[in-house]
Amino acid sequence: MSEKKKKYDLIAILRNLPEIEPPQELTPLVMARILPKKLSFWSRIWSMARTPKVIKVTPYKMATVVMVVVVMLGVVFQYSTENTKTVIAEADAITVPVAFALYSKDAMSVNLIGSFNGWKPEGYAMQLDKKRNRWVIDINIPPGRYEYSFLINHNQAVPDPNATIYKDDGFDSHNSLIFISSNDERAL
Amino acid sequence: MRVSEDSRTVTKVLNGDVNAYALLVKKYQKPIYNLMYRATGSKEISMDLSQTTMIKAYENLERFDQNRKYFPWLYAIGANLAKDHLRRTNREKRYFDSKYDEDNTIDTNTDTMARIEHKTKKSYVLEAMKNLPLSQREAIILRFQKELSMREIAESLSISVSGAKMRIHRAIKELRRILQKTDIY
Repeated sequence: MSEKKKKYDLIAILRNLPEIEPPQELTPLVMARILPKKLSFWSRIWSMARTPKVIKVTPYKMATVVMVVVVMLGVVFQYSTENTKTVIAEADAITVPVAFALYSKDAMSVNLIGSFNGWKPEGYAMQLDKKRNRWVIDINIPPGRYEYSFLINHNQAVPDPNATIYKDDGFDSHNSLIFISSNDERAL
Repeated sequence: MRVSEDSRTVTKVLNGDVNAYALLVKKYQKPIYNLMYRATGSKEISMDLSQTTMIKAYENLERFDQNRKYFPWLYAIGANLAKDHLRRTNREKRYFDSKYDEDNTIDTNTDTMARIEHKTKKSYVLEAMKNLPLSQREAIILRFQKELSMREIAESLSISVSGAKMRIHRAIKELRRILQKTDIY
């Protein structure tokens, strides 16, 4: 017999080595000596986390899940957009009443122009208060920093002589500056 | 990843279903009992050690990694208990009976040869197996009878994979050396 054949013979015998049967009472004896496991809550959580899970997915289930996710994302997006709009609208809704006044003995008309109205005089005509001898206008503007001037007789822009701060307008003249905070109510 | 039946049973046991453990005991009592019998040669001691193995495994079930196979883990517990028992009793080389000397070789004198002549090849192998150290014998049992992978054998015997390969190689070599002294091999 060749060495190789002897080796295979030996391995074949090893594969079929006889085994003896254990006594039948082995299992009952073991079971009689053990008590049910009493695991803590966290031990159960840990055990569940470590236990491999089988997830079966069918196209039908997948489509349902995708649909639910899309609907949920849509709802979240809608809510988020509405919420943002509300916040912006609320911010815009906060305006502060401001009174402007100008003394000018030569003026036939005075309009208020500034960065809050795009420097357009239309709709911002000031009225002459004969008792105070002042051109006046009350407007509501959101809090912020604004430049403004008075347009006299539709052809001459002059800064507010009562303003405390001025800014060069780049045309050899100055604009008045006003700072409005949310709790301000300024009368100039 | 496929969840093995054993892992599912272990999960049930860990969740308090003590009866589920009977499935694992029944499934693996035979190899564990045979491990003990090969180690001790005593059915009574094998019964005690098998029970101890199963109970110790139950007590330590939380430590079992459910991504691994249950049998090598259980076998490692059993093998350690068997080694501890042999160490305590100092009987490793006398586990079956006293037919063989303690020098790990078959007596080749005429009487002994006459006694074993009628035996089959399997008997020769069985006799030769008795002369292997427990560690080598269990390695080839796990490899060829239980058909475990090298990694599983390493786990079962608490050794490295290269250590398992070496043990099997040496066991086969030793078996062949013993068997070459007979006129059959």
